[in-house]
Amino acid sequence: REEILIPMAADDRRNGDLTNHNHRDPKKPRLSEFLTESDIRSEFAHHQTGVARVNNGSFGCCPSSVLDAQREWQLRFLRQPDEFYFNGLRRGLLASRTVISSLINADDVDEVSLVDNATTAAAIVLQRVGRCFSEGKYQKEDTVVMFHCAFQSVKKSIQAYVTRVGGSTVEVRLPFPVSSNDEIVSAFREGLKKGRANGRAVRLAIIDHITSMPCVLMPVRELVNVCREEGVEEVFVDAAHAIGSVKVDVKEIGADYYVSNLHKWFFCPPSIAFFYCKKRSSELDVHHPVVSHEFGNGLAIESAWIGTRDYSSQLVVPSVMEFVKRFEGGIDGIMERNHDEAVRMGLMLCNAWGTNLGSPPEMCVGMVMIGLPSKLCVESDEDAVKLRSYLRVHRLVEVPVYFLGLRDGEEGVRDKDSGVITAYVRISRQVYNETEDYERLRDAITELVKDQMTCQNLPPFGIFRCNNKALEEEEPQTLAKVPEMAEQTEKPIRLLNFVSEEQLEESKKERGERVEDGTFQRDRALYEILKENKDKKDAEFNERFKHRPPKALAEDETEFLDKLEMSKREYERQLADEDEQQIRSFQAAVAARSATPQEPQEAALPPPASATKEHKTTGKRNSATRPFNTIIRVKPQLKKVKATEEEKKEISGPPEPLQTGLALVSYSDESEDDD
Amino acid sequence: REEILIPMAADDRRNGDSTNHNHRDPKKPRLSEFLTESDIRSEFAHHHTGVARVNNGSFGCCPSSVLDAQREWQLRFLRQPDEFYFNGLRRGLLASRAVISDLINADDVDEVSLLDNATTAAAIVLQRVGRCFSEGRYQKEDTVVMFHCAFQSVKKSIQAYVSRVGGSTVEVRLPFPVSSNDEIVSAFREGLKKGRANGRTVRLAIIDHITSMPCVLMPVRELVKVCREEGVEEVFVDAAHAIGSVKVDVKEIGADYYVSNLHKWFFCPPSIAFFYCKKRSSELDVHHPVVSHEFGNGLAIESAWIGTRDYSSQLVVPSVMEFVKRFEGGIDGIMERNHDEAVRMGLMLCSAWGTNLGSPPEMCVGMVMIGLPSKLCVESDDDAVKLRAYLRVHRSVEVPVYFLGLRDGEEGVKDKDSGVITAYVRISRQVYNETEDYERLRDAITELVKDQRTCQNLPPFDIFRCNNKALEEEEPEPLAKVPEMGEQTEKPIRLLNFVSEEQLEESKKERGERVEDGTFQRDRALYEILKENKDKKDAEFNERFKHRPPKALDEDETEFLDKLEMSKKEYERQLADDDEQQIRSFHAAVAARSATPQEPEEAALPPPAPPTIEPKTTGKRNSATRPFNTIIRVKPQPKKVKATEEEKKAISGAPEPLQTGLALVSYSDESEGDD
Repeated sequence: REEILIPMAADDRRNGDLTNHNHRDPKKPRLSEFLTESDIRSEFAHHQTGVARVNNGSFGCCPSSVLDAQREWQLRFLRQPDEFYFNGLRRGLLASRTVISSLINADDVDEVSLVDNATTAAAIVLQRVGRCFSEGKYQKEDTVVMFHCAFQSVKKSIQAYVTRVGGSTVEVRLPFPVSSNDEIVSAFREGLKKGRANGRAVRLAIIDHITSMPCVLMPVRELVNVCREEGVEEVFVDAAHAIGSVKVDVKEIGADYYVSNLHKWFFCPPSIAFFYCKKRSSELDVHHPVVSHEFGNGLAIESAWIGTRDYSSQLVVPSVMEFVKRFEGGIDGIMERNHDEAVRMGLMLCNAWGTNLGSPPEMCVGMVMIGLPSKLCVESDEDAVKLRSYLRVHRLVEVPVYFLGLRDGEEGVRDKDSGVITAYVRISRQVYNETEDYERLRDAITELVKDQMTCQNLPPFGIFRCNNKALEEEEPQTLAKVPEMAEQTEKPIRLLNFVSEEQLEESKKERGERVEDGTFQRDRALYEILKENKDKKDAEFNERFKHRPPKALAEDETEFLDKLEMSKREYERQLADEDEQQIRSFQAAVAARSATPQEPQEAALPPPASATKEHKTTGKRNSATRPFNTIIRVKPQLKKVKATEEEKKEISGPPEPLQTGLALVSYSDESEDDD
Repeated sequence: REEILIPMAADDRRNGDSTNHNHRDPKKPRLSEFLTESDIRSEFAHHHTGVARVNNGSFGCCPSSVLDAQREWQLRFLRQPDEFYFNGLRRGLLASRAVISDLINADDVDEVSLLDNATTAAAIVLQRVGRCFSEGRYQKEDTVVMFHCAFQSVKKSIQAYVSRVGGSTVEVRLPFPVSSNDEIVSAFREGLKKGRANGRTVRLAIIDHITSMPCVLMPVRELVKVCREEGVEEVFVDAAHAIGSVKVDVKEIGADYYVSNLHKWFFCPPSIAFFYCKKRSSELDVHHPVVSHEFGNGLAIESAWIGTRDYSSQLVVPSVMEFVKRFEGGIDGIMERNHDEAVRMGLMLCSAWGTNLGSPPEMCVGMVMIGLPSKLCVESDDDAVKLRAYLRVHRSVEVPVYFLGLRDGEEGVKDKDSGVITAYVRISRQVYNETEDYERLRDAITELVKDQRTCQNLPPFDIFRCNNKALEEEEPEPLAKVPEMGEQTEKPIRLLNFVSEEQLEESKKERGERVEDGTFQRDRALYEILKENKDKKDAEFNERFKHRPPKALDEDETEFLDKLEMSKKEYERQLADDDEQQIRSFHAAVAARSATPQEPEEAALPPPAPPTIEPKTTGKRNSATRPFNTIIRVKPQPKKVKATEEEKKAISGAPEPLQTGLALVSYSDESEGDD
């Protein structure tokens, strides 16, 4: 089982006899117990139908049998909480810990704690390191070494706990695309040397087992060895994606700390991660940052009670073991097939697009990086986000896109069109995936290229597009209270930034031309058209809409949208720019009519244009109530649009109010999930 | 609405017009919408039937309509996680925050963050204070002042974050029983003076809004004022029990930080707390200890993403508002009726027992402290725990018991028997409670007194009693791996400690006598009787047992019980003490047969006696597999027991192995729920 941890091209065991890798007794379940394809579909029936979900890596998945088990635990607590607290909880958590302990080959169940996610584990480790700095046990300028693509939360934790007390960091650039473990190992060795320069000590090395973006299976055991050789004090392996993706043997890996999420590839509900803390380490000063009466009783016990919470996601591990046993080869069989299938699909995409894999198959897991055609012109992180959103909204494909910035002098890899590959998609393969999912991705990209689309002229889409259009459809109410938006806009808000300043100016130019050329009919009739369309769409929508959240939520959410949009600044700007708004609304309506989605109930919903119809009579209120998703870039699909409307496109909203609206979606794309 | 915060005897608004207190528009729901009694029963149908749950304070409750809303949110995430992350989550959290912001009269929604619980908030505040110490902004020996009954997690957080970096603490003893706010205010003022002695500065005062154990509604606004007068730098109000219990107006209270759980008295599922951070404070260096990519964007935003987790409990606040609107007067009406009814029941219990209330009615909330008859002889915290467990297991009453240690020279309050009242129960009243719940508690205590029971000779009960007896019934399997128990016993394990050394010796004496007097027949026939009983009970049990958790759990949990019990030490002791074991098993069987529970399916289950059947042939394995819940103190109920068995009682297990077994339930009683 050791080779699976550091798979080398020549020695990849994934294709070998999987029972060899199994820590648990190889009780072969009876064949009749294996899940059929239709069983699997029913286990994941809660997934959005019609969406090609080739992104298990970001948030994982949880089958309904495990969700049922979780609910049973939730109800056990709610049924008689005192009794459960005294007699059920700890015992249940211990059961989960033991299953994991045996699975990862830990020496002792006390080495295994359950925490929410890898982000929490990072806080635990880095808080300890920070204390050592502030208590003078480490020298100022001693270092933490990690890869440049370490997860964003980890970097921020370093900032919060280590940098502020005098520690310094060294980031090692991960070679990508990468062709061998040696490249990685030698880059890392260089980094450690840098970390020790000027007599400093490397106090902590942070190694990803499987990096998230770009995704590469790392030679973690060798890297830990290198750390030991170079005298690194402690090694923390961030293996957020590992368990259920690769075999994990914490003793062989030999790190001091090792954390892996179980809700990504191990079928647990959100969220649970195990945090392994080598015996020696656990005797050190390692504590959960949320301190309860269990403080000082060891991390495992501390983590088992951090106040009243819902611990149910941590209690289902035994049920997950039951679930995976119902697949041939259990979790090992699943891992093997996911890897093989992901690689196969990756190669299929490479061939179709004329690009490359980000790493050789033996350095892949159930996730594979595939280069995107250079013709798409992905030129920034924002472009990558834009493309990802486009694929979600218009193509119903969930897949993350990675922009690869080249450094000076770097050549880059070229695709069949001899363009440099600047972006990769990360596909995932999990038991619920089907070949068609990848084919849809393939076709979406191929068609974009064929239509000569680039990230600079992607078809229009509503950035707030979501399943629950009701939130945006309901009649907004006047507000009791307006939050001070001035404050919000002052803060630096990280943006999805669909529309850059340059694009905006460009689009303004274009708009100018169009208004001048007379094709745009600005008269009262427009509102009537819009109203007519909206009424029709509303009727369709009401019929189709299935998953309406509890009523109160919808109302309140609408209020919030309002609040966010109702800043005075915004209001003034909108009044001043009334023309542009009308055009935008008009084009939104055009877009709504011209959209030809694959999933009608998903895409046929109109952007909420009703607010504009009474713009002049109640301007103030309308400017506030128009959801920002009307700020879209419109390229009507020719067949369905009247000739007079054909030329309207590329009208973008101004960037400032967009920022305000986008506060709602300002979660950073790069870091959303993988903790 | 201000008076409700600092209720004085002369100015208690709870009996006033509840709509006056309502921050929200007083939209009176139609009468027909109010929940009927049977609606309420059905909203809480998941509560264990037959249990008098008069302890809402520890863990709260959540109606099924809110649970449904929570599940809808959970499924929204699982359905298409990427989409939900980008378009649904933040918006939903903002909706919850705004509802709360409005409810507590905050100036700005940015002042309100959502956290797991008050424990998390304490970590946030104390981490900040700790940083100020370690970065030299505060002087060593500067103080944190709080009440002695501050929640245990808060005290431990101080230890973890403040004491270790040189801060010192002053604990103010809360007068109890208490008769006026003035007593509390002047004690606190004294404490602050102490905190400032020798030129030190009070950097933080921690004030409970409603203390947990003993429970007292504190004059929080006055206390904050005192802090300001005395130059305290920052004030943190730990109001874990407040929202839904009393009116909360954070501006009037005027603290810098204020936290309240919403899963206790506000019908939210576990867990959610709001943490209010005054604008000024939020500009300070206040961060969530779990650091994600949102670090530095303000606490509210930091808290809204601390890695992939299940945020559903934080998303249901609008649904809870819908729920409370279905009661007359909304949440204010509920608070008022809970208070009035709790006081009424408290007075009823006082009269029946001839004792007192812990605080006057205007210093009570939906929780009331009632003195227990002195004849019960509650002489320690352990006695209190023992009594609480007895009430749960034998009387199906969930109620926490508080032991009041008197200091030298203190007189104490006497009950009608002229004994000093050394313990109080804390009753809670929530919408699901009925008068019979309190009557059952009344009768249980009255009968104990009538039967001349004390905490030293309570009727026997199974300390591991739980709904899921299957865990203890299944045939244990041999173990693959034995955890090192030596370590565990070396650590100081806080115990429920049902059996003290003295009691053990006493019981040994008793046992000796009985064996000598010939009433105890030690022969092979005993095992046959036991076996017969067990088989019968097993059959009954299998029929009755309803809530079996997923199968895998049973197996694993059984393994755990085994592991814990299988220490070598334990094994050796058991071999050496074979006689005692047999007697113990015998008594267990007797107890099983003689129990006359009020809830048959709860109490009629036999303790697991089978291992003793063949102790001599396979001694080792059996000694390991006997669950420790066979360590019970037996007093058969005469009517159902044969004459020859009548005298056997009070046989206790040896304390050491009991400790091992009890590691499973070593959650501290005092701190369990109230974070």
